[in-house]
This record gives sequence, structure tokens and C-alpha cells, in this order.
Amino acid sequence: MERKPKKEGLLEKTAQALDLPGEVVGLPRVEIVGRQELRMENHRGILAYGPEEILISGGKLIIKVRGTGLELKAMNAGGLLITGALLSVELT
Amino acid sequence: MGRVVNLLRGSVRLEVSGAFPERFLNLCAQRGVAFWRVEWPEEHVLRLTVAWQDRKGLEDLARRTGCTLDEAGQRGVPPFLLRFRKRYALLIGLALALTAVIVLSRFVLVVEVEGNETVPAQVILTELQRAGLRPGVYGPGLSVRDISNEAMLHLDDLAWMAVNLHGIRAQVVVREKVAKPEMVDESALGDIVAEAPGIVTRMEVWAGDAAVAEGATVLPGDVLIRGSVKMAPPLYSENPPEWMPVRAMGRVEGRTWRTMAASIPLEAEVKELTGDEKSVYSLTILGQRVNFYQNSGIPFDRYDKIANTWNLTLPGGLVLPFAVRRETFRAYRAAAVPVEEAAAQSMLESRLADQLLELLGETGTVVSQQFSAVRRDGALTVTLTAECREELGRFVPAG
Repeated sequence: MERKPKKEGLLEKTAQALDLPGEVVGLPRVEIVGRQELRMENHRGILAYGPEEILISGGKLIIKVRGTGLELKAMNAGGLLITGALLSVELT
Repeated sequence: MGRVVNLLRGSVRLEVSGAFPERFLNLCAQRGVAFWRVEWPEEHVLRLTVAWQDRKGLEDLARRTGCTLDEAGQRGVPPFLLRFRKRYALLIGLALALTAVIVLSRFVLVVEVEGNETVPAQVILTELQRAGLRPGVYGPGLSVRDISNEAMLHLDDLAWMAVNLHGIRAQVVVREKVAKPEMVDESALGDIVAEAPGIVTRMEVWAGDAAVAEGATVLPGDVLIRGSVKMAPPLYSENPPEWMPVRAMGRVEGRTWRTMAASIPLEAEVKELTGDEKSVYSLTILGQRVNFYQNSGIPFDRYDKIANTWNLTLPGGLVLPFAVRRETFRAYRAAAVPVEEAAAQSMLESRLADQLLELLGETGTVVSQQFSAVRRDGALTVTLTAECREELGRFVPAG
């Protein structure tokens, strides 16, 4: 059975309607620098943590970061920084 | 740099155990609690490091997330210092040391004198002490200008003095007066007379008339250069010659024969130690002496006193005004021993030769000299007979 795609949230619709950048209305923003660094803003917390996989909540999204030697270098209420050898970033 | 900062501010390694330890992590992030070195060794165990100052209040977060919190270690300066929290003796010692540093640094502990060459430093220090500057005095209460002015009143050989206070050290810089050259009073009139008997070998008259010729024999007191000049009257004048008084000046060298004698007893009294001795100790703190022996007397009739002083000195060579002094009294008795004649004669000859050179001064020389020794009445007498070349004349003011 084919998986039903998730509905767009209110924030995403608002951002599209007002032609605003998503992070302004609180949508998660993921930024990858090379293969060694991943920055994320507007996260909702860590869901699971390990050297090969880190799961981050982004509200309606879950960001799954895979790699080797992953480490949560810094984290605060608004952003986080993950370092290590990144292999993939998956949105579910 | 970050490691140094973490070391200075201190850090705590924590182990969080519970069903959902990631919730603890998220709460820390929300509260602004910085953490690093996050490890997830097991599914329900989380290890992380937080700053020392953020440690308080994390138990509450752990309780809210249903986790237990354990400390796995502490690092940095604050945990290190907290180890001494209950070492009261150490803290008291530290407080006393700090107090001593703060209090003692207000007092003058060392007085140093610089720039003196002929005036002894001890003389200057004594005057300064009278004026109020000495080890142990309270530095901020000193009026250095008054002290230097007062000390200068009693130190005639100094031209200038400055007192500088550098913490516990008082630096006294002095400049000595340049000695005034000896002035010849040329207004005084008079003759040059013979000082010693001799034969005149050379005459050099600068002012006045020569009273003797070269080769003349003179006795002490004989006029050598007369302090008056004959003024002949004009040709065909019937006026008598006139005498103009002047200050006689010139050099008169001559051969002289000097005889000097010195004697020494052939039996000398020497000290013979009896072996009895007594030592007493005293402590000097900031110039104040504390005796440990009170008023105990010295039980010997004749004794030598030997004093040793040990000053507290800093590694740089700075001598502090704290000293321990030991005085040792060694008893002796007087014993007569014969003096070795040859050594005594040699010593007297040497002493007489030195006296002769001193008598002749810089301008005189010894042509020849001979010694003779005689034993008489238990003493050795040595006589020096010398032929010299020296300045014979000495100025004597008229009248």
C-alpha cells in the first residue's frame, strides 16, 4: 500500500501565502556544510542519539541524520550543531 | 582556548539514566544549559558534560523527565578549590599570609643608601634613624622631604639627598660634596725658613730674596728666602734703599740626615683561652632587639666577645630587618711569652721606614738608610739613620 504523503501544516501554508521564508514562521531550517557539519534551526528536540544516527524533531518533520562518528557539538532551544562524517539526511 | 576556559570555569560530567534520556537533553537546550561531549553508551543512559555554574538545578530537570542524575566526575579550578573548603588550618594560614602581605607591605623593611663614597652608609642610616626613617616604620606616614632635610642638617659632607619609598624598600640617594681645594693665602707676608738641618742643594726663588746660597748648611729656623725685596734708589739719589715686604715663595731642596727610633718590649702578654665559654641569643625584629638571656651576667673576669648575626635574606639578596644574633663569651687568662727578636726587629725596621716615607711626603726621597738594634732594659730599640733629599723650606708668616 502506497504511503499517503503528509499534509502541509498551517505554518507552511502561511509562509507560502504571505511569500515569507519558512524559518521566519518557525519552520525547521537545515544547513549542511560539506560532509562534516550540519546545522539546524527551529528544531523541537532530539529524539534519538548515537554515533551513527541522530533523530531530530522538527515539529511535523523528523530529520534522520546518518553517518559515522556523529556528535552533538552544541545545542540550545533554537538550534543545534552536529559534526562527524555525514552520509545522508532523511526527512520523514 | 575553549579547553582553557572550561578548565577555569570548571565542568561536571553527568550520567542521566531513564526511559527517555533525550528529553533531559532537550530540556537542557530549552533552559539554555550549555553541554558538550554527549555520549549515548546504552539505550537508556546518556552522558554529557555541563559547566560548573549550570550544575545546580539539573536534578529538577532530571526529575521532570523521569530520569536519575549521577555525577561521573568534576574538573577545573572551582572543584579543585572546593576541596580545601573544610581545611580550616590551611584557610586560616592563607588568610594570615594574605594579611601579612597586605599589612607588612605598608611598612618600611629595608633602607638602602646609594651614591656615597666617603661618607659611611652607617653614618647616613644613623641620621635617618634619628629623623624617623628606620626599618619597621609605617611608610605612608612618612614625610620624606622633612626626613631628608633633617638628616642633611647633620651630614655636612653631603650636598644632596633624596628619599624614595618603593613599597617595603626605602631608597636613599645621596650626593657628596666636592672637597674644596686648599687655598693659599697670598696676602699673608713672611719668610721661608728651614724645617730640618741640612745642606742646600738647589734654590728656586719665585718671590723674595734668597738668604742662603746653594751648598750652605742650615739649621731649623734659619731663613732661606727672605720675605722682603730691596728697592734700590734711583741713580745719583741720596735716599737710602727701601725694603718692600712680600710673601716669600720658592723651593729649597737639600740633603738631610734623619734619625728615628722605635722600641718594643721583648716579652709580650698574650691571651690563653681557658676553654670556658658562654653563648647568648637575641632576636632583632624591625630594629627592636629581644634578648633571650634577660639580665644574666658574664661569669668571667677576662673574656673575648664574638658576635654572629644571621639576617633573613630574600633570594634576590634583599636583607630584611629580621635577624638572629649570637654572642659568645670566651674566657681567657693573660700569659707572658718571649717575643722573637728577629721578627720584632724586622717589624720595627719596616715601621720606621714607613714613618720616614710619610715624613718626607711626595717630594722627598731616601738616598740611603741604615738600621741599628740595641737590647736594653728588656726592650729592643731600633734606630734608623737615613740620608734624604727633601724640601727644606716652610713658610712662616711675619710677626
